[in-house]
Amino acid sequence: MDTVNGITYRKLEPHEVLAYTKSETRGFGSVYRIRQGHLERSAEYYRSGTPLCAAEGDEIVGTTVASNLEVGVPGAVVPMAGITSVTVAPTHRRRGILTEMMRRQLHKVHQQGFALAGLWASESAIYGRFGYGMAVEQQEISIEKHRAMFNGVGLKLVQRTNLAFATANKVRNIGPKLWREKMQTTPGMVLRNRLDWERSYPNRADPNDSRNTFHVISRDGDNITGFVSYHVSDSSDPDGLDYKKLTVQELVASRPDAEAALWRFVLDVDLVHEVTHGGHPARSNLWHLFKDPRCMRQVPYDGLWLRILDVPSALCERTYDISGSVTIEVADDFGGWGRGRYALDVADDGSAKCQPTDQQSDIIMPIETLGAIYLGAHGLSTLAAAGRCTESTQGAVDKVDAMFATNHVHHVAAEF
Amino acid sequence: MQVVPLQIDDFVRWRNVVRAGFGDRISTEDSIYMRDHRAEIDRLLACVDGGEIVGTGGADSFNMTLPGSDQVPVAGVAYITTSPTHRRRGIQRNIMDRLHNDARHRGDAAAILWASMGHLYSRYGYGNAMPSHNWRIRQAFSGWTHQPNFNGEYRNLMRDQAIPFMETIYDAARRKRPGMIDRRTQRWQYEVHPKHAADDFFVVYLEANKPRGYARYVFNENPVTNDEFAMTLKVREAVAVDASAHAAIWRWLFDEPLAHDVIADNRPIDDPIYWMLTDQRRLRRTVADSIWLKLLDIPIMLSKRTYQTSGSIVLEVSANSGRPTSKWHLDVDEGGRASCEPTTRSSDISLPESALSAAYFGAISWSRLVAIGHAESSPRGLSLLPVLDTMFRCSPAPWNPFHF
Repeated sequence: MDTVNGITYRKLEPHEVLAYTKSETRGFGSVYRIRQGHLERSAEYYRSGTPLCAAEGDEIVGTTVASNLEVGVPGAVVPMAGITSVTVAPTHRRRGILTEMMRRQLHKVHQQGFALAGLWASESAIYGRFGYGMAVEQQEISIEKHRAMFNGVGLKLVQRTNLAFATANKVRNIGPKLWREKMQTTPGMVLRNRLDWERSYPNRADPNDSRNTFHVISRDGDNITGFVSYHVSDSSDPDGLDYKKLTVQELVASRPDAEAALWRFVLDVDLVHEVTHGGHPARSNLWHLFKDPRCMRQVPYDGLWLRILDVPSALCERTYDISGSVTIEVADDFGGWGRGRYALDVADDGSAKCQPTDQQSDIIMPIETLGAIYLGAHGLSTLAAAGRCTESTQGAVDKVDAMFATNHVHHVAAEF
Repeated sequence: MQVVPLQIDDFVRWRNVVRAGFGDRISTEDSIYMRDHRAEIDRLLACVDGGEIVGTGGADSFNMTLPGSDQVPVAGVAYITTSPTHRRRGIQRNIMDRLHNDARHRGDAAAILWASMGHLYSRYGYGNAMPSHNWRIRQAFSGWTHQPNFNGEYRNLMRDQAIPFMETIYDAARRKRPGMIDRRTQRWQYEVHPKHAADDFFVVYLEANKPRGYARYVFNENPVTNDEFAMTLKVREAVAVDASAHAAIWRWLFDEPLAHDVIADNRPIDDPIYWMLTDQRRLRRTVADSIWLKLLDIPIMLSKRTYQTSGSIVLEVSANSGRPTSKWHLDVDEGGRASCEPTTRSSDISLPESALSAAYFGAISWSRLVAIGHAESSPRGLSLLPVLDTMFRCSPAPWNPFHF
């Protein structure tokens, strides 16, 4: 336990689950209302990770939880501390509570052996200063159904997939295996743990949930290749006529044909004029399947923010499409976990070695820049043009660009 | 009905048909000015039924920068319309085929176009090769934390003063970015004609008296603020020769006191402004399809660009419009020199030309083309996909900042 400026930073006590949950809920702008089973689930969630408390006396004024997650990186799936529930009480602003919590939390997960911490940001201006970089974007899409004819490629893809309605139970049973499989080839995709599967696909429908959620699975023989969960809500089309809007809550498929078939399915649901999805991959397969790609409005936004805590381990855990050597000097002014000069050597088979070195550096960058380019979704040359790194050996930025790039389709998929 | 070269005396009549096809506001004076100052009459076609023009099409001549900064001549296809009275008679296909044949004959290596509708051109072998972003940001959120240094000076100029500066800057910038095309003086004079630019503002950024960046912009009423002094600044074009000048120009635009919102269409997908902003999410971006590309001369297009790594592949390209299949051996050596020769070897990847066009600047990866079935691959081709993906990746991203 430590006290700084009258605020104590400590772990959460078992009897404080309600107070902690209330404080966190208020931080996101809601009043906490007790719902059946909810507190038990919160307690289990806190037990499964590392909650941190900022308290003034008995009052909880700051919250944040680090949970044990995993994330897809090019060529592998690796552990990641998933940072959530970050709030500071509005009555206790400007006292350095957030900064103090962030520092202690990163110190803790670094000690626990995590090379990476990742989060979804409530606002995008917050986490850069703690060393997080914007690693993977997603997009909101909205499709005008009556324009959404498939082209020849799309029509060929959807020919043979077999679809069936399913229950939430069924999705909860088949989902985790599909998810794991998909993570292997999807950089940025975050593991959904058992608690989140139960929350997303509850055993009995929540009586407070007035949405009509449907689930459809795709099959190839006995093999389940994907699922979509969606709800349909009242809307009106641009002419003011009563129509429905179909919202895809989640669409996961292990193969492009299943993915296309599930999209074709939701686009063909009757009485619907618009299909939307909030968590679509930034580089979508779907847009290449339409006769008229303009039927689909795509609005990218920031998804996964990554904070690298152990540079050599993070850089060795992923694979690379081309070989090469580069010396990177990393500045890490918040905590210093990543600070150092590292020699990265990628062999012809795509595996990497990375060690601290005394050699002259080719590039100098802050840790958040390394977090932003780590998964290969963003080119270092773009960040260099924004003043986010300095090249000391000519051509080094282009080299890193080529080495780090990957053509896997990035997708975070899970909100955590 | 027949497709014939346009006669200069028919130009104004022809332009009226084009105008009707696009719903544009164009005056006769404008057509006359265009005819006399910039139209390439010998590249324009009319489909004539009796004495009436019922279909139009044409091309403007450009040089397009390829990855590695070589340039090739391209046909900027435009003015494609068919009269509503003459639909479904194959006029468009006729005109497109003729345009492509003429362009090949002239030595154009590719054709590019802005599509009025997204579904029209893949059938002619075009692929969506340079997607871009449309931007909207509230001025209150345009502050940034990161920036390349800049310390030059600005000049707010009138049209006539601005044109020579813009020409110089544009010409330097377009040689560095794949997809950009040249713009001759006549085109500048036409595009920034007083009639088209009456409400426009121009800013030029200079370092050591050398022009480095410019923007052309206009203020519109802002329906949200309902305040005549809180307007929407629409950036019609912003181009810079390097990262510093780019930052300088955008700082100017974001800092315009009357701009409550700033909007800009058609920005490159790798624009560094996103990475400079303190609150990145506040730059609201939507994806646009922008330029469509068709390769007319496959060996020239594949051998004149540079690649990010070496590799060797046999591609079989099937034409979308009736031409025979062709087979090419693309070989890029360790020194980055590329050759592309006809071959009879068995193919690693076969694909339609629209897919090759879409993959040319890396807008879609080869892995993905194969995954969704837009290309077919032999077992050897499958093992080559990661190399191909790396070879074709393009940095900076391709971009074309202006409508032709």
